[in-house]
Amino acid sequence: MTKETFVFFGLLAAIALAGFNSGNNLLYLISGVMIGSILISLIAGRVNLSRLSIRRRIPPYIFAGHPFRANLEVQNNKHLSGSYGVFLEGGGAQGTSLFFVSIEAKDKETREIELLFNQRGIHKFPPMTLSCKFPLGLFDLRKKVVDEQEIIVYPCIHEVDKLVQGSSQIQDELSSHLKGPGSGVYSVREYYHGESATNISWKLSAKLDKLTVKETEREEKRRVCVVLDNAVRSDSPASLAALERAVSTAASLVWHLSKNGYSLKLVTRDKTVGYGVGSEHTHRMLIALALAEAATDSTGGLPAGRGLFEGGAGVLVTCGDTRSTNDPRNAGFALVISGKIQDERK
Amino acid sequence: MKAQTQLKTCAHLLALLGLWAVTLTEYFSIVWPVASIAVVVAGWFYEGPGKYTSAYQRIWIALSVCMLVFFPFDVSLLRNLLLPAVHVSFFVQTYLLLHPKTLKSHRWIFLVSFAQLLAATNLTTGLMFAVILTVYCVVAIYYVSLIQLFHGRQVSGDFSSVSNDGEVAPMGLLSLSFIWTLALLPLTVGFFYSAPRLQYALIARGTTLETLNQMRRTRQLTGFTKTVQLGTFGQIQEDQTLVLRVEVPPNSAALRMPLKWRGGALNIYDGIQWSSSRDFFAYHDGRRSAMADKNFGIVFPRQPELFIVDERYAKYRAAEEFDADPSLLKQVCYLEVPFSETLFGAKDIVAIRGPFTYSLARDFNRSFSMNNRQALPELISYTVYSRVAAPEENELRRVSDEKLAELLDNEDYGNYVRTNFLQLPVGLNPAVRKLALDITRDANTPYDKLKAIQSFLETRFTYSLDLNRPLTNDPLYDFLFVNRSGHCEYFATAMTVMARVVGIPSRLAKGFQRGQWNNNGGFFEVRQRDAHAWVEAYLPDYGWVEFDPSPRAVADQYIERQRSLIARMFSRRLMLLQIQWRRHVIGYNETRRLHLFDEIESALFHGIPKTVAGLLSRLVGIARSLTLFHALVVGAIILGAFAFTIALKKRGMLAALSWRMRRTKTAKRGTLFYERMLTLLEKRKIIKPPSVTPLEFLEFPPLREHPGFSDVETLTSIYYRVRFGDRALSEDETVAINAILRRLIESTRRRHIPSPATK
Repeated sequence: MTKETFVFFGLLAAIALAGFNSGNNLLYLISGVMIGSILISLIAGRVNLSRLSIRRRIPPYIFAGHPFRANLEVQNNKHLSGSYGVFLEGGGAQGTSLFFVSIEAKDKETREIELLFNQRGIHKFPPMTLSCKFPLGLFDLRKKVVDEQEIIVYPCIHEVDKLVQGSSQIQDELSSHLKGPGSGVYSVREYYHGESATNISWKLSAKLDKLTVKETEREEKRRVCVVLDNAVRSDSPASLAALERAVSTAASLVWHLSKNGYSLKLVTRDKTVGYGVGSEHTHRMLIALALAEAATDSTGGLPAGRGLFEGGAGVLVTCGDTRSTNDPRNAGFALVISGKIQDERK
Repeated sequence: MKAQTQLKTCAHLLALLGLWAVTLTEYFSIVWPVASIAVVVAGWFYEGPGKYTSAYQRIWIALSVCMLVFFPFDVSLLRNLLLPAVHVSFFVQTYLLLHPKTLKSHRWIFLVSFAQLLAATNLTTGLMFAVILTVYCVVAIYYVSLIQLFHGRQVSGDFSSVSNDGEVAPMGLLSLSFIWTLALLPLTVGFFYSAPRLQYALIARGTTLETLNQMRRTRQLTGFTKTVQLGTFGQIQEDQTLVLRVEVPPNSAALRMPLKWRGGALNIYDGIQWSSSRDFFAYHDGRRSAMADKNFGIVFPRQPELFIVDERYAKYRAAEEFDADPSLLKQVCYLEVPFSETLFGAKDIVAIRGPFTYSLARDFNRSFSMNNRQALPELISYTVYSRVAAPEENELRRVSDEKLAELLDNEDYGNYVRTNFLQLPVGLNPAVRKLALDITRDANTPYDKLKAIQSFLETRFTYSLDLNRPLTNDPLYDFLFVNRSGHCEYFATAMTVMARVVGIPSRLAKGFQRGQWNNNGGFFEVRQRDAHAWVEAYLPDYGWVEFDPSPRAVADQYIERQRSLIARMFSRRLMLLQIQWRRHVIGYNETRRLHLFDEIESALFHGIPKTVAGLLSRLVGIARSLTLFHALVVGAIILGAFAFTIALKKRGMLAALSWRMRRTKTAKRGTLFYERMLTLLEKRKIIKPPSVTPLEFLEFPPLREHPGFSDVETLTSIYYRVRFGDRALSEDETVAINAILRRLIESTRRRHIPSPATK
């Protein structure tokens, strides 16, 4: 019911009463038209919202602090009639709604919206509701189309080049691309006579019009174990902010190294994601980081020793208030990034 | 058309309809509807000045103040609140139209027009209201829908979806509005006919004083007047307004008779004006009235709603007996003039049947009227039974002067007749008397004398609707000796007076001519222009006999020529509509509602079960009447049909007809091209096993060798997108698919034509 509905009903009651009192049939006729309009408004409104479906398309990676664009697509599955004046609530930011003037029969309307999440972790998209006052504005009809939806927002990502500047080992790792068996492309060269024909990249050969070989990188050397020490000394806002920075740094490292083809392992105080490559593995690690919570020393220490790295280089990211960078236990790591360093290098 | 333009068009249309609804009524002259058009057109082109807006506003404020000051004067002047309110609404609508149209002002325009529509319900009962209301509903639904769209855009702050002025209104919205309006019709009708009402459909025009004024106005209409006055001058209005409809039984002899719908008669002429005696009347057609019938002119019902006014028919107990009497003409009269009191009927009325709550009134000259309080619009029909058979001329000629003299010599009745029906004005010009005697000098019988006078008037005088200013204060002398032309009242007056001069009792009858027969509706259309006056002369043994001295046919032809061809074509259809409107909408009341419900109930609980039972009994009767041979034939036909159905089902042909199958096919229509492609490939012996997916099918070696393999790949990818991507085909894709299928068909044909080398 809207404000107009109450006015309309009041007017209708007055006209019907006047008609009944005076016996004026024309007033009855107008009352009939008004009552008919109420029913038409209800039926037409229901028909207007029926067989509408919504699809929300969001990017595969959503990072805290990074605005992203989402597509909202409203499809009208009705065969004959279009839908008009439809509001979509819960699609975008809280309290705002999108308005679709018309969605023709068997057609769809798409709207792009920009969203931003400032915090990592699990976020909820509110349920999406379609509503309309169409056609006569008497009833605000609503239809819940999509239930509450959960998404995982990955930690904020930033540039890591400055962070890794202090570690020659990681620097080396980042730059020491060696030819060998692996999945990453190392270089492309012409085919030498007598070489195994299986090395030929037929697609490239066809493109370049000469037999070409795709060389791959050696993989065993490109293993990095990112260790996040998510222990905080207290629940103070400063400590939690330091943890967020550490998580963000770890995620940035994971993202950056993963993009560069590294085989990565993630270790936190309460979770370990083993070595792996590819986007799925990256997702697993980013999810682990998105859900990483503050731990205390009592939760259990970080696993230590060279065995932890499994032949790769180790990077330790700390909140900066539990273990000092010069702690002998950090000796095996190729790079140690603490909260203080992050602050300085940012 | 752009959305903004559509919104503006609708606003102006609604404004015009609202203004017309109130101004196209009897309370407003033609100037008002024309002014409405002018305002609406002005509002379309001018929405206030670009500059000097504050000055423009000040002018309007001043006008508003003037309007407010004028309002109380208007109320006191018109003694009515509604009409001044209409004047104010006209002003407000003008203000809104002559200002820039925002969404808010659009709403106000809609509200004001709706208020005007409401006001019109109390100003009119005409068919025009129905037309305006219908158009209003269509436009209003579309208008409100458009307002909703603009409002939604405004609320959401989303201006990307609908651009500003250049946006075209959504396709299909107009047709959808029409559909909604169509759906509105049965709902409105349903409510209208089922809503409870008070017993009477009172169309109260406010106060009792106003109702009395309405009655007074009706009494002033020609044909409804209580008196007839000569000596007026000017042009008689050739009014086409329908005043009465009279249904008579189809194929009735009355259709060929020169009937007149008598509203009454007048017997006292004072030289200028005709009126009726107010005395107690003891006689009816020469016979003394029975005591029960002479209640000072009051007729009480003998049966419910049945008023017998002729004692000779007092033995009839029900209306059906009157219906069955072949000597009586049944007429169902529909009064089209509200607040009329006069009852009309042909010639000699013997009974009246109608929903009169109280008694009927009968005056000295057998004019019937109903009680004022019943003279309301809902009482629009009653039935009259009349004796219409006229005696032959030979019979009337048998009435001799002696017989008439004998009547007049009767001590009681003779005096009665002489006083009332042979009365002459005191100052009657001797020339008139001499003329009457000259005309009738050679006539031997009273009837011949009457015919001589009638013939004289018919042949020597002309019928005219233009009434010249009288030269003397004796209109009859003016007519007979100066102007020698006049309308029916002059002719009838002249004949009545001359008949009285020669000693024949007579009176002036008034009412309406028969009117035109409406074949579509099966009734006589009696219009205002059919108002007529004629003469009734009393001849012993035959009672009152009608004579019409007016050469009215000439005037009728003249009037008919004045009517345009289009008017003639549409008037009858339009009239039928008007009649239906008055009958089924304006005059609909609680009694009819209950009757309607009874009919529905009767149809539901009696009619339909009775029909079904009748059908079943007939079927049983047919089954029983069947011989063994017939039974065998029927059995064989049924078995054959059964077997045929099973055979169709087995072949799958029946299933193809089922709606479910058709629906599935419709759903698959989007991917039919892939099936078509597979059919074409099958012709080249490339068959896709059902267990293989389309992608796996692409790996088939014979398919890879096919010259159109890339096309097959393209179709497969489109198929996947459509089938699993839940996406409709775009126009480009459809074109591409058609082209590919054509290529595949051609390649298939080429394959079938053997090459010369193979030969």
